[in-house]
Amino acid sequence: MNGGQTARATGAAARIHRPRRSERSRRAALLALVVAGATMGAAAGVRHARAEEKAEAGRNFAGSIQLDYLAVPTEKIARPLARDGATVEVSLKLAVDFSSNISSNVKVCYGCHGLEVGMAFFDLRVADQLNFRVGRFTPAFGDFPLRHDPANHRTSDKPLPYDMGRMLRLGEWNMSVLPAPWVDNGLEISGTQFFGQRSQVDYAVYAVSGPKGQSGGTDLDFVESRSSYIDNNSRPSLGARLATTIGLGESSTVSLGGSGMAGRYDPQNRLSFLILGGDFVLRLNGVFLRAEYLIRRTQMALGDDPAARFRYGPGPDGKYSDFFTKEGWYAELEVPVGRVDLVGRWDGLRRRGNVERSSALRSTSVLLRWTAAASVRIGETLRLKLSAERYDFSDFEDEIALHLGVAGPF
Amino acid sequence: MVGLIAIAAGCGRGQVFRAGVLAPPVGAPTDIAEACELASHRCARCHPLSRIDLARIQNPQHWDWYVSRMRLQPRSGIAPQEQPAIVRCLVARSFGLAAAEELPK
Repeated sequence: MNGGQTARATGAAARIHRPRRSERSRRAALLALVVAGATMGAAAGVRHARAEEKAEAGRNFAGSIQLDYLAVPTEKIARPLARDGATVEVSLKLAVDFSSNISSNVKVCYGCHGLEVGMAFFDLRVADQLNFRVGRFTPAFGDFPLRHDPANHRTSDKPLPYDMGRMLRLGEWNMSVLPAPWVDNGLEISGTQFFGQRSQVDYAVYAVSGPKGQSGGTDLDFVESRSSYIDNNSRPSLGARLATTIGLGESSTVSLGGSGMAGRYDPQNRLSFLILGGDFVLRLNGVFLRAEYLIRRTQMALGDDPAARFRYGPGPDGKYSDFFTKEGWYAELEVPVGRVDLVGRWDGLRRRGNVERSSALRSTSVLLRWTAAASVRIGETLRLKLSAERYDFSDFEDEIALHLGVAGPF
Repeated sequence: MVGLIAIAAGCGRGQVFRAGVLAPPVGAPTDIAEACELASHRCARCHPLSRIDLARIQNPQHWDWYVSRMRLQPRSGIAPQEQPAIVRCLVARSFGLAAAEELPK
């Protein structure tokens, strides 16, 4: 599409979706509220910072590296269905603490996707219960994204609901429900209320540019979502998270959380998505039991001729369904035994809904995976990661995958 | 799931399944040793303890700001009243027992 076409398309979209005056007023009022809140928060933060002893800002440079080798012994050449062989993930992070309540973080990541900015934000903590985060960050969703860094989790790859390119058949499945880390631009307001010494409630609400997809598309485009740093449809996506952690002892807790994010993903602002998730984490000393469930409802453009585009016909009412759902889940047990952390994981994906004629999936497709893994501590920082995975596909031959990796922070 | 919870509960009680700990400095008094045990429990919730040894901390106040930021990470489990003890442990490890003694308890 050349510049003229782009301008015409944008103009047409603007004509079609020009907001009404009342909608514009509501949006302006919301924006004013957010700006006022951020300004008041900033003023409070500056006052607090001035009140503190004038000290040099604390700067900490950190990072992590993971080199992983993926082998698929059930395939002679696995490249068509996976990014097998050796892959490296590198992150470099600079955290600056200007005071006890103002900080900034910048992080760049290098992986299969090339170099990306994973963090570039300011945090302004007015109180424990009120923090403003502005910039590029991972909005609060679920539990796993809190430990997405390869140095902070024990397996070489991520659970299927959050997979970002390491699963087998990633092309046919268009990856996961919400690839982690999900990085986006926007504003997040969050906070924590502690109850005694052992329990807390965390909340977060945010407005981000949101996932992106093609005009007339049938699913999110994760490559564009990750690599484009500008909003594609002039509308933010909104999300929220609420989680509680209850202390069971000195180092044992149980946590429950719920998350949601919704918006539209196409340039014309017509196609909606909704992602919901629930998570559970039980920690008993060094033993972790984790479980999460995510579901995404994604609207599809039917096009002028759905019969030619989609494999399955209309429903009993004669109409084509214009959405599909994609679910993802995992349950994981992590047990430390001396220098070794043992991990057993069961995870899966299920997609339900019509598919394009070119798709290898069906109206209901399921992937189940079983993983046995060990993470061996080498010295104080490095970990050797070993895992074996069995993939059970509803639409393809089952596969075995083996990982051997080294990961660590620095 | 019930089976996994039962396994986790069984393993969690066993002393052999002990996560790493932040060693207090040699000759540390009891309160610093206890503070380091508390820091071990809290910090290991989200990241390996080796992250602490790798952190480039310029002065004791930097540790206070750092822990303040970590405390407000979701599910940190670090209550406000626990922050001074955790900071004392980290300062003692980074800058010595004398520096930790100057901090509020």
